[in-house]
Amino acid sequence: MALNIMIVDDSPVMRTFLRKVVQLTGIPVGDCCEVGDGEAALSVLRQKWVDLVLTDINMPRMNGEELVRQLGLDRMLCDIPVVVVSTDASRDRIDRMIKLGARGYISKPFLPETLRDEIERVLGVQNV
Amino acid sequence: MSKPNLDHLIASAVAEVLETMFFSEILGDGQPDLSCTALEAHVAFTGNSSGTVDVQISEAAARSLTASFLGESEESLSGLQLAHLVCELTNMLCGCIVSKMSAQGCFNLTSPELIEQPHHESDERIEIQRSFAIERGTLTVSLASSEFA
Repeated sequence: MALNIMIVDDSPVMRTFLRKVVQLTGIPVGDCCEVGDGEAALSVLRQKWVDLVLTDINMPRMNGEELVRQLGLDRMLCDIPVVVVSTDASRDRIDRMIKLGARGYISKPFLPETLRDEIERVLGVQNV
Repeated sequence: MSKPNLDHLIASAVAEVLETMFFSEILGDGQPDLSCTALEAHVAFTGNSSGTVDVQISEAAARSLTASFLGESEESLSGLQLAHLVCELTNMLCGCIVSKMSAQGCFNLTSPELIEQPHHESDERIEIQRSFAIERGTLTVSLASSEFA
């Protein structure tokens, strides 16, 4: 079954890069929507079905940390798996995001296969 | 952290980011690109230590890295895409450098900003500056940090 994926990042080139890497991994992708901040992500998530969210942390308006917190508080959205893609590779940040509810974490720079492995781990290989 | 250690740390971060995300590499030491077409971006960081990272890159090198990053031909790229790429490159380099400086403790980065008119005069604020020859130009990283205080 094709997965609907949302990419949340304020950098247009990073969004394009992530979309291309996801498509190259061989994971069946249905709709792949891109937004520039957490607020826009929440707005879209309340209107359409998304199977996986890939989000940056440092963004204007609403950052990735607040996005994960808001998703956890929303009964309709709290089960959507979130993978954080960030330049912050500190153990403290990773622990903090996982504690908030993120299911996975990838620190930049990363290899394309790292992204695929993390998506497979988060969704379960049998679902991909 | 000593200057030789920081020199090594910057080189290590540049090599890691170029090789992993851009399928590129450091070719050797270089000299800052003083031409008016060079692109420059700036990111500030706070956390266990605070400071700034500035990245300056030759226009041709930025075009080559952008094409590689996006999987598109150089001719099809817009100036805006080059600007966004230099900002993202600066963001990644800053994150990589700060992560290597202190493995413990979160840090926050400001949104990267393109510097419209790169300055080439010596800047007393810059503590460490390293230039690298890369494909089609030069990449210069300048780091100023409370780590040196």
